Amino acid sequence: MIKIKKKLPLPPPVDEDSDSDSSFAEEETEDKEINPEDDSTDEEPHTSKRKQQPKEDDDGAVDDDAEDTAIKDEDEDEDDDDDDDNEDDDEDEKKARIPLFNPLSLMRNKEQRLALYRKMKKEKHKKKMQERRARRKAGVPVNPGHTIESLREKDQTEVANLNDSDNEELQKELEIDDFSSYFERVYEPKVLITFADNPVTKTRKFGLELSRIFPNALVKIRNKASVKKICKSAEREEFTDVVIINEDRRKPNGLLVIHLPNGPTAHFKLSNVKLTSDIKRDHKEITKHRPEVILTNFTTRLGLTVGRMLGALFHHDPEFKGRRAATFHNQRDYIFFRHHRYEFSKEGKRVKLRELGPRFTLKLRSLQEGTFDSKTGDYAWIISNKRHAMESRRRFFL
Amino acid sequence: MKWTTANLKHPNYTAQHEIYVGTHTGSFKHLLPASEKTPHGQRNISDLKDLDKESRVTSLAFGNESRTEILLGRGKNIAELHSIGEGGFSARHVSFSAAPIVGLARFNEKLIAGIGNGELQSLELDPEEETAPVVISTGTQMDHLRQCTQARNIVATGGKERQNNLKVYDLSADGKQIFTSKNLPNDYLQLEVPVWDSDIGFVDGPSVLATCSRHGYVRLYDTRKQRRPVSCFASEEHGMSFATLVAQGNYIYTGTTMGALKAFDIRRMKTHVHTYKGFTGGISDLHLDPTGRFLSSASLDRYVRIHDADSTVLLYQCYVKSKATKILIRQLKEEKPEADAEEEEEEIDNIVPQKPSIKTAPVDDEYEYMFDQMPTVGDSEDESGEQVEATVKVEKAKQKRKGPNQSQKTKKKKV
Repeated sequence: MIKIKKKLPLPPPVDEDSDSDSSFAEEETEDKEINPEDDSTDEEPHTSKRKQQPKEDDDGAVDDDAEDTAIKDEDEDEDDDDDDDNEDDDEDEKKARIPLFNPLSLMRNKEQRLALYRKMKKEKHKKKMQERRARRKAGVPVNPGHTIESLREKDQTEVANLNDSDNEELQKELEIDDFSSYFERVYEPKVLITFADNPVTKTRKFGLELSRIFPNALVKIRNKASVKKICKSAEREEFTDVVIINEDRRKPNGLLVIHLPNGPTAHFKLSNVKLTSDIKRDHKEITKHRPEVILTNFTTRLGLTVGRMLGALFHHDPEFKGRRAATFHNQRDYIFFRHHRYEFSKEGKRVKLRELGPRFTLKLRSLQEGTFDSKTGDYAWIISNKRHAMESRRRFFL
Repeated sequence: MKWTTANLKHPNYTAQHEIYVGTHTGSFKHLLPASEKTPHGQRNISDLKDLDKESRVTSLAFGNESRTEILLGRGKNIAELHSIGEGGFSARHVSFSAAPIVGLARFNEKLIAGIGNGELQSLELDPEEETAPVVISTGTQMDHLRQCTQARNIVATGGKERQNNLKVYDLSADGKQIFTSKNLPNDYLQLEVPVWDSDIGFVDGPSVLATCSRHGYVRLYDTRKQRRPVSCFASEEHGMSFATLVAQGNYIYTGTTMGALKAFDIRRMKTHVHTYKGFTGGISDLHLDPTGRFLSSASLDRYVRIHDADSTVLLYQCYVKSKATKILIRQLKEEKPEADAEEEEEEIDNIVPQKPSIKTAPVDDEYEYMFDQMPTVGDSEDESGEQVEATVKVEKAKQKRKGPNQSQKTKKKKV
């Protein structure tokens, strides 16, 4: 495979077969659509690009310009064709270091050239799909390929299987930590949602939409109270969680989730907020039924805590009649939230999804012990100040 | 070294250490970084089964000079004594009348506990009949209690608010308060400077103390000189919130709630001299090995780390599964014979009270010589706290005679 990369100085032998279903194989009810990246073209640019053009080479530059990528795509497709089985034409490929030429690019007439090019591309795609189908039929295991996630640096704290014998201590900790009483169903969560001072309409609407997602939530205007004061009075009023939406430049940009009475407090960066109306849906579609919560891909010890924290905002028992699902999907430390209504087909094999709003993306900034005390509180995890030392493209914390 | 989450052991780290870790879950672990095969193996000393929400480890200290006994206090009113013998561990439980236990000390046959509500409780370890603990009130709240390793009759406490500031007690005199610190003068707006002595450390001997604060200051007190701090570092502009402190020699090591570990030089407290890296969570406890070269730290990010105190290199890192709250580092037995002179010196406690006078010698040789010729009151030199105290007093008197100027000079030399 290295052979084909001759033009491209960039290294890794890349498997182009991005079988996007495979990465979500663990949830059979979920179709492709639930993957947050498919319907969000405006996520972090590199994230969404990966799905559409699953190649590591030359990734930012000129993907849209069909002509420029024509040549590249071509040899990539070739690459794809032979990547699984045959390594035998390796030698001659090594000798021939001449760049591959697409004869189409010599054509002068732009319209015809484009038309032909599209046709060629279509056929290639067809061929590729056929091959893939054949491969799948033959039962060749799917090559996960080199994605940033598959090359992820191994995390020491990873929780692979909770019931392992060496996870005895972890099990014990989960039994006695701050969320244990939620998972023992001692109380029903009651969430207070509030804002930064003087929120703009968009932020207020976002708060309202959050209150439709969390069952038993109350939206209040903050009235310039301090967070510590809010926590105190919320505790008195028997709230179990406080969610505070921060805004900057007239956009919601931060989410503070405080678990009462003893913490912890998580601070998230909030981005790409799309309200129900922004994705052209009506809030009347959202029923009052309690949603199911799907938390995926929280693998490390920190991720486990964050997942438990987000899960503890919802009621334990979903009302399956409402067919609502709220998803927190973690991918490379970005937690994507999506809200869907699902419908099984008659045979129960496929599932149809309809997205209801809102959608947003979270990224953990800090996790603090106890209720909010940013100055003197103990942080269990914090990334500010040393972001550059800690971050790497292949290291993820959740 | 590059930042990583993996368990690490630096190839140059060959010292024979063992580590004891208390965690937020309540487990008490033993790690053996010296082991060749499994430097990251860990063993739970206490049973995991009977842990509950209140059983987090809130204090951990050595109970004797030879570091063979470990005192462990929990979020509930139970203290545990673990003795490290040849054949393993033996544990016994002692219960106090309040919780949480934020500091433990052992003096003679008494176990002294600092309680979170500001009480100092002391219990006879082997009473003839069951007795209630003797209670001394130090204030309304306590964050930490530390025992001086060299003069074991001295303990210091500190907490939040002015009334719970740094105080020093003498256990040999029935818990008499021998020092109470005084806050800095009011600021330029005539407002009180907030006090929160979140941790205390003894810097060489019982009379020089350092405190750190979640309000962002590190202060150095000399109990012989004045009640106000003799030097101070304040980090209002950096917003650092110091949670724990340990001191030895000329250096104070202190860790913040946001995971920064800094070293200060007490001769010049204006800025820190070292920063130790690798933390992602707040630092909950620090402990130095007897030589002062290896700085072990427990962090809320569930890691235990050992840094080289001088070169700041991360020597060892291990994931301990729960949030580490307390740590002790101990030299393994085999190393004892070849331990260097400095270490031995510390192990013999009777030298300690004299140590300052030895060190002050270069100030005025003739003058000192004259005093050396004089007979000392407590010359017999065989233990007993009273005599130690007496020598301390004599020494104090000496310093007074020297006059303020000179004593200041001596202090500087010493610290």
